[in-house]
Amino acid sequence: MQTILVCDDDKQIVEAIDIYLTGEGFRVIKAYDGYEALELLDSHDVDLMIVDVMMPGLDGIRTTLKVRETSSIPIIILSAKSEDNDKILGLNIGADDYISKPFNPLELVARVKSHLRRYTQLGNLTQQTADNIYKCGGLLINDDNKEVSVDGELIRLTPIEYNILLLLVKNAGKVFSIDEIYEQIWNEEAIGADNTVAVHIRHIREKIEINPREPRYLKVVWGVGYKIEKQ
Amino acid sequence: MKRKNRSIALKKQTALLLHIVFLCLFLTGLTLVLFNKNFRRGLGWIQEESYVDTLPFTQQLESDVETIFKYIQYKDLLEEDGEINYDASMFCVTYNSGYTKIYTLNEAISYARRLGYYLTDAYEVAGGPAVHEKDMPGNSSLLIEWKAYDPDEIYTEPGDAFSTVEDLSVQVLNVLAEYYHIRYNYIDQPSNLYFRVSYLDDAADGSGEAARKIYTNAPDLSNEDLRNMGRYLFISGDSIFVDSNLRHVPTNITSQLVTHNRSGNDDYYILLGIDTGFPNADPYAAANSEYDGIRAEYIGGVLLLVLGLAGLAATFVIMARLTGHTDGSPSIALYYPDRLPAECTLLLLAAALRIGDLVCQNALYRFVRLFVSREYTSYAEQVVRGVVLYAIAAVVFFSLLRSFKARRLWKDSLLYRLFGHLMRAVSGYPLPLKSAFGFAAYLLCSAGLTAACLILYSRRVSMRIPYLYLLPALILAVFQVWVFFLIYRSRVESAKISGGIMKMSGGDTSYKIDSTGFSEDAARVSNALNTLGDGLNTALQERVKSERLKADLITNVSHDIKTPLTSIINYVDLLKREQIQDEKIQGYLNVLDQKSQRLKTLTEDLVEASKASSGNIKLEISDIDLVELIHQSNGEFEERFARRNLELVSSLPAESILIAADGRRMWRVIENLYNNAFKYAMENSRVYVDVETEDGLVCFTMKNVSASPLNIHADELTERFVRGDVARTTEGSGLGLSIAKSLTELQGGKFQIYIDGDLFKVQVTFPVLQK
Repeated sequence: MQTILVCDDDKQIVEAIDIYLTGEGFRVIKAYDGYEALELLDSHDVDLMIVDVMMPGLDGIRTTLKVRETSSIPIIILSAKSEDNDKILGLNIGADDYISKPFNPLELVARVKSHLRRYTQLGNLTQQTADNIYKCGGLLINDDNKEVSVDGELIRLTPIEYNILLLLVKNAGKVFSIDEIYEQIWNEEAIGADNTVAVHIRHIREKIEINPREPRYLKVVWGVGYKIEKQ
Repeated sequence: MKRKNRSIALKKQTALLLHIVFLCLFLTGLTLVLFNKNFRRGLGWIQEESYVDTLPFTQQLESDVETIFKYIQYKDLLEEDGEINYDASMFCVTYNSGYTKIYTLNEAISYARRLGYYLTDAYEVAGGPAVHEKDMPGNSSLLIEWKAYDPDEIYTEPGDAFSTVEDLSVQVLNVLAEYYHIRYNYIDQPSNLYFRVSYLDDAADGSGEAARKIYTNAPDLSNEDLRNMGRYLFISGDSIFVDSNLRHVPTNITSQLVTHNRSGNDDYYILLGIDTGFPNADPYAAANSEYDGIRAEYIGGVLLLVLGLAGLAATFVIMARLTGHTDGSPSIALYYPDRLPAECTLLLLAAALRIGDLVCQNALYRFVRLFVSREYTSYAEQVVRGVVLYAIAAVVFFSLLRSFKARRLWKDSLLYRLFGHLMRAVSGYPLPLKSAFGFAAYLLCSAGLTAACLILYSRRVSMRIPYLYLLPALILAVFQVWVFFLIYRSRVESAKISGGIMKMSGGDTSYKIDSTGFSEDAARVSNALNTLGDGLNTALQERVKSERLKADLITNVSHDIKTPLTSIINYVDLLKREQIQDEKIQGYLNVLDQKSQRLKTLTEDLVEASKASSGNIKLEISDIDLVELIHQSNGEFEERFARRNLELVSSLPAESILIAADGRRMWRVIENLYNNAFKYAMENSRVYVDVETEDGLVCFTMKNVSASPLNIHADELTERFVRGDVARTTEGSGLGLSIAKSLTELQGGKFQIYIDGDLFKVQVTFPVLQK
């Protein structure tokens, strides 16, 4: 059984998260400020930590920094601050994910599971990358058997969706416009291409992303095109 | 304080003392230069560094050349093998009886001595017969056959050919005296002038050097030695060129040289050498040392003159700076006379100068005459007068200067008071009248000055100072320049002020009008304007600051709301999971769920709206393709629209259209518009989306038919919390359009909403980026 440390000064929120995660079969230990969290980390074998930013005493940012000195467990920051700057700061100091309050409980659970899979099961898989296996963070494409998995979970894609995803993953970091994708996948000249590509992209995102509005892998560069974030 | 005080007084005294010292130096220099022998020859002669370059030297040399050739003549006549030949024939006379007698030198001398003539130490003929002895033979007019010492004499008058033996003997004695004189001075005595004259005698037998006659006072020195004396002169018979390093060649020398050539050939030369070290005492040495003295004196005089002038100027400037600063306080100390009006001071100056003149003439000149010899009296008087008048003028000048420094010169003057009275008299009249007065005054002054100038010009011949007409002309010119300056300054001022007003009204409220050099009135106006600008600027900054504070407050409050909201949402969700069968409770839970979700979007949108409207957002502007963006947005929304049976009809250009915008914020604008259509468009209707370019602008247009009647004004829709349905039954914060509008305008675009019945139309316009 995996242990998750939840740290927030609001007891009801901790309680709610406890109910959700316990329901999913995790063991939850609770802390109500940063110092408590650090103590619990020392005394328990923790697999993942969820931490609030604004807490009395040691705040979430400093707690994360402290944890990162000794441990590489997944850390998810949970905060009422939803500005870009706050997210960037949180991710930069070593957190693996940033969820802003009020959060969707299902999304939280999905993310927790995703991080745990990557951390525990796939930690060593990365080295075995073969010629026809493309990897990008938790996203894995095996071109031999046309399989796509995210954090170890198999994803079902249509052939066109698969081809689009493969094109983007092969050229991770490069931005493709709608016309470029159309020409590459359909092998036709894109004259006044309709919304087909955009719709397909949206479908892919809905399948591989936990929250399609805030994608981790397939990013929309508005007014330019689409790309897979290099990780 | 006291020390500084003392030091200023000390400085003043020192400066005055130095001034007097420099005045003395100046006068000394002036005197030295004025009474120098070479005064009025300019400064160029100082370049003649040695006496041998001067004219007196050339004159001396010319006379010496004359003497040298005389010596040559006498040496031929009187000398035989270096000794005086007393048997040499001097002259031949024929007596009345027809008897002819040749007198030798000895006989001539004896004859003269018998008559009492003798030679002095200075080789001059002196003495003479006390009584003419009638019985002396030859003491009557005899016909002169020839004179050996003057062979070329031409008798022009009939009596010239006759003379007495006495006269002839005296002539011989004179010749002998001159010979001795030359011989003593130039041959026996060491001289600084060395010469060598050489002729080739055709008559003598033998050839080469033996037949050469050489006359010299330096038999031991070679020609080369003579040339190396310092200055030399070489003229030979076979060349027309003169070989010399003298500045001036004596003019008589060539003719003398040719005249004394007894033979027909041109193998002869003269070589002169001047020892410029002047080791021997002779006229050259004496003249040289005198020349050096004069030159040194002149140079010293000029230097003193320059030094004195420079010192005078420097100390004058120092005194001018110090004057008035007596008591160490920053204000200027004025003596009583300094407070007099400037006109009075000038009148006093004229009177003082006159009195000074009188004092000089009646008292000081007499003292001068007591001490100074006659020839210098006039000069000394001039000096005394100059010094006295200078002192008076300087005292008055410093008085005026102090007054000027205390800024009282103009204010104390009678002219200013007159001017003030005039201005006060005029001040009551309205502005047009004042301007007319001003113009009339200008015309009057100009006309008066012109008239004065013309009158003085027409009478200039009869005036004591003929150029007096230039004075009003000068004043007129200055007056015109002054008036021009006033007009120019006023133009510049009004241009600067109006420029400042334009800038401020254009939004640059921090602009400051630079009022340096402005007149009093204009400076007041521009300062007032600057203050006004400051006030506006402060108000503007205050507003921006308060907007920002408001945005910050909203952000913080929303954070505080979010935490309890999280619990509400989570526990509502947990309740729903409890599978409660009671439908009533199910209904309540649904309401709770809906409202808590709405509260969530509301808080999020609230933060965004306040930030967007206060401009508190960091934009990442780049080149984005609006067509691509619309395609992407269509892709995002197509299925959602389909859920509400909305048909998306888009007409987009095939080519890309680039605009400068922040891609994510632009997506937010479009997303809000699509969301708006999604929420409020009538079901089963169409939503039209166009992108068109026109006149360098690209316009995105979205049209849909509203589900509920739009009974409000278009502008109100973009105001915060306003929604098309007044009853607010649907989801949404009511902030979407407001955020879209703020974000569009932040990125430099235009956002317009048109309402025509139930038709809702929104346009977003951006300038197209030119490639």
